[in-house]
Amino acid sequence: MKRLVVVGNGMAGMACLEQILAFAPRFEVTVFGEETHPNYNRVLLSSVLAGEKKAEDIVINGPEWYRGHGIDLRVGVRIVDVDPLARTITGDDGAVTPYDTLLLATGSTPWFPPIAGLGKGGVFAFRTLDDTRALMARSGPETRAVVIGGGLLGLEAARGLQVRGCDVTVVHVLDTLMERQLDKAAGVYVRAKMESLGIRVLLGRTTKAILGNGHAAGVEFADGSTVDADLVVVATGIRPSVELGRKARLTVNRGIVVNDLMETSDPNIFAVGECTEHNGICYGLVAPLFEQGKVLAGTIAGNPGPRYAGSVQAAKLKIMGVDVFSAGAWEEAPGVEPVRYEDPGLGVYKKLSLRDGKLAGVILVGDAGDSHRYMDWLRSGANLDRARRHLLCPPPSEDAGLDVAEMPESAIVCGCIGVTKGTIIHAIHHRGVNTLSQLKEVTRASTGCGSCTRLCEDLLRAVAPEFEEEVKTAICGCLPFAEDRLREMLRSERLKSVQEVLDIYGNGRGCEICKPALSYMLDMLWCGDHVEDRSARFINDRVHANIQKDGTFSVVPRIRGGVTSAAELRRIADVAEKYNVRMVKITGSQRIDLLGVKKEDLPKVWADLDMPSGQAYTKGVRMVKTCVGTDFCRFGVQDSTSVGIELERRFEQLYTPHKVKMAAVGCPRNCAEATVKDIGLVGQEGGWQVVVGGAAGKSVRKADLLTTVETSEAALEAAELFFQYYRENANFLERTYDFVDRVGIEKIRKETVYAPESVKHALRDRFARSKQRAVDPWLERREPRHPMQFIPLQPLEQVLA
Amino acid sequence: MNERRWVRVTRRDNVPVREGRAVMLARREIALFNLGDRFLATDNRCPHKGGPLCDGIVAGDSVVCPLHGWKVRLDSGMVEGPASSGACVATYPTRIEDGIVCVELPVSLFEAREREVA
Repeated sequence: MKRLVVVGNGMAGMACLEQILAFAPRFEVTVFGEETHPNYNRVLLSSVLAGEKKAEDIVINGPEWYRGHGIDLRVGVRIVDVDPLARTITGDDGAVTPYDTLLLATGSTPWFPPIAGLGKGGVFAFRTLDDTRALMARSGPETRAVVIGGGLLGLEAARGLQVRGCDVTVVHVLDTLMERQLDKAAGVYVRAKMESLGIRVLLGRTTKAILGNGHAAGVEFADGSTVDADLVVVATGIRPSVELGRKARLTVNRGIVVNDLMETSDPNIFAVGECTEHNGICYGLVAPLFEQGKVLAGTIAGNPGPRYAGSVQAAKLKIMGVDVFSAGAWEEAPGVEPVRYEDPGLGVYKKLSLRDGKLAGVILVGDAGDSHRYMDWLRSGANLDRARRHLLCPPPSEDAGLDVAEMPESAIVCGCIGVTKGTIIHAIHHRGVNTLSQLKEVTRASTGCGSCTRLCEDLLRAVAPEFEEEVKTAICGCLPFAEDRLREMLRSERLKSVQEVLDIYGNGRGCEICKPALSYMLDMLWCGDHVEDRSARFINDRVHANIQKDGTFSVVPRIRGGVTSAAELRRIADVAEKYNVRMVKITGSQRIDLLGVKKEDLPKVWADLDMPSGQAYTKGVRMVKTCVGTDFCRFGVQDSTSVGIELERRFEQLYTPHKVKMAAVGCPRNCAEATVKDIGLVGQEGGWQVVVGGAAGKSVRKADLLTTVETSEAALEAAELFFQYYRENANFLERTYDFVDRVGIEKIRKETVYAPESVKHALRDRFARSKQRAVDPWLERREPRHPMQFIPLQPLEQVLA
Repeated sequence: MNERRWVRVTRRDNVPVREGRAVMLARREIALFNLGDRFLATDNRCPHKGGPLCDGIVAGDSVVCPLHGWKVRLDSGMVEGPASSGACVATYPTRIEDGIVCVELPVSLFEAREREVA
């Protein structure tokens, strides 16, 4: 077998290798990687820095992929020499490896301008996973960070650092940001967006020196001014790594020169990716690497296919909420017609450059939703005369599905990997693809920057016969994260207020879906030590009563275990009369509901009742229904009444993802219906069964057995473990019956009642901390959150003049 | 008939940021919303089933009715969701004078009231 040696374990090299293996798996392959990590998606490092992804999320090929293909992977080895005559390479460990075919995929290295003191501590590049980890370790709230470089990478690094809590300044040598991708007008928009996120932008500053004694303390500019900094990131560009090309005596200009078949000047040596130069161009973005890789794979495997004719350069800024897209030749020049649209108020700027009726380049800021349309036009060179009226504002389509249906088969869906609509449809029909992860596996679509994920899903939905929606992705359009991911982010970023989360991760506005969800999450995560924002709560949780169809409210006092007294009933009756309560109703939960109370009367009603809130209006602990247990019932074997009251007392006043209804029964006759409650305690001879996930409302579900215990205290403790586990792991508005179904009772058991003592202790501890801060919300009658929480506004001016 | 009049309603800090409050002006219940940088005023009745818009969750420039989730734009009064409804609520210009929120109402509203009183 011929020996194929690949130098460079990055995206370009491995994407090309994947293709080679697909064509001709008849090489003995050795891969050298200088970094000690598996092959990962470098494009997403900024997402790792920002905490949106974990390092393991961006791995493209794990160790099992290398093993599965019989690839000898050597990481942590830098290749320092090539002998093209002996056909060997030498590593920095001295080992010499022979090759028949050598593939150089050495990528590029950061380029640093002449700045004094770059060697000081606290100065970082932002190129590798190790750089990213180092930055993550050194940055946090109150760190003052300066990012030198206002290009794509610099801005992404700046945002990542800011999300980590740093106070960030971006310094750029030119007077406009992202000058390689944007014209000056667009640069102004991007600057405004960055500044609105709270990032300082200094333009036209040449950095002269890093200040500080051994460790960065600031930066000094050519004009003598300075900025303090604990951390400096230098993102001033990259240069192709061509050293091995030179050692192999290949033709090297700026990059290693390759022809249309991706051949170098040595027939046994090939090169791909950022280290190459094709037609005078060195590419620094991901999509061209994949296109080159495909061509080269054909060449190396001995069946040359299409030739490489250069790539349309396209770049997208990966900062949540800052849509920036640029592609092609957008520069103004004779014969180029610019078409512009801008709305400074909205922060939207779009410019197309047309040449001979065809699209030559495009810049989108503030709204890059149509980028794939423009990429199609760029790639296909379509004549746009007929589309001229709709260049920047396409005729509204009926729905997203139509958009997908209208795309031609040859249209590129995934620009990074270069996957067409036709390829995806083929995969769906002939490779049994039904889910997004299958699609990723089979076609690699949406494994690059991920911005085509929506489009891929639309296609699957339209074409795949058994399309399965994967775990519900985002909460809502305001906040593009799944809830479990969001919980992690809020925890690690120590975010404590809803508005802060929306400003940093969302669209700054929020809606009726995400605001209450975030309110719940923050309360739960910080065990009540969060910044409570009542504007983000539903009206019921602002005034602690249940809004009715006429705008009045219903009042349900807490009657633990359904056990009340003559004195309480007398007070309830008095209140009902005094406030003209329109209906007094016994509820299905063994409680009493007073319906038709005006908002302004609520505090007085609560004071007169002198009972705590039954919280019948909220996503929280509702009640524990009980039977009469052992005190009176001739069948009762457990004291369900006392245990039920104790259960309610322990859990009451805590918020939960959705309402939690409970019951305790004294014998298996189950009179209080414990087996169709979120948590049920079923008494039996010698102990209790603790059951969870039951329902008898919109859904009907028999609860699953969590555990069987001997004592009442053990039953309460098991219930407590499940209760806290549900609070921490369920999605907002997910009832226990859906939660138990989704997670599976076995897993829940393992992670609650059968968990190691340390895990149980931690659950109990967080529960106790939340409980400690929880109070009866009806006490706000004495100390309202806001002076006008319950009081209606009185106009200052008599309207009858 | 199209004459309008400014009415001084309440101190601006009487309405918490991103919340609404109802106020009776000339027998009309008006919802006043504090969007932080400005105040907006609409009728306090959702065009769907008459829900109190002032008790809704503010979502950007819109409010979501607490009863059935209709979404109403506060600046134009147009119902955004469900989009097909085509309904809208009345909106009223507002301004802040010395920390007091003022709402501009058509004079016809007062006259109707005065006639009734007379």
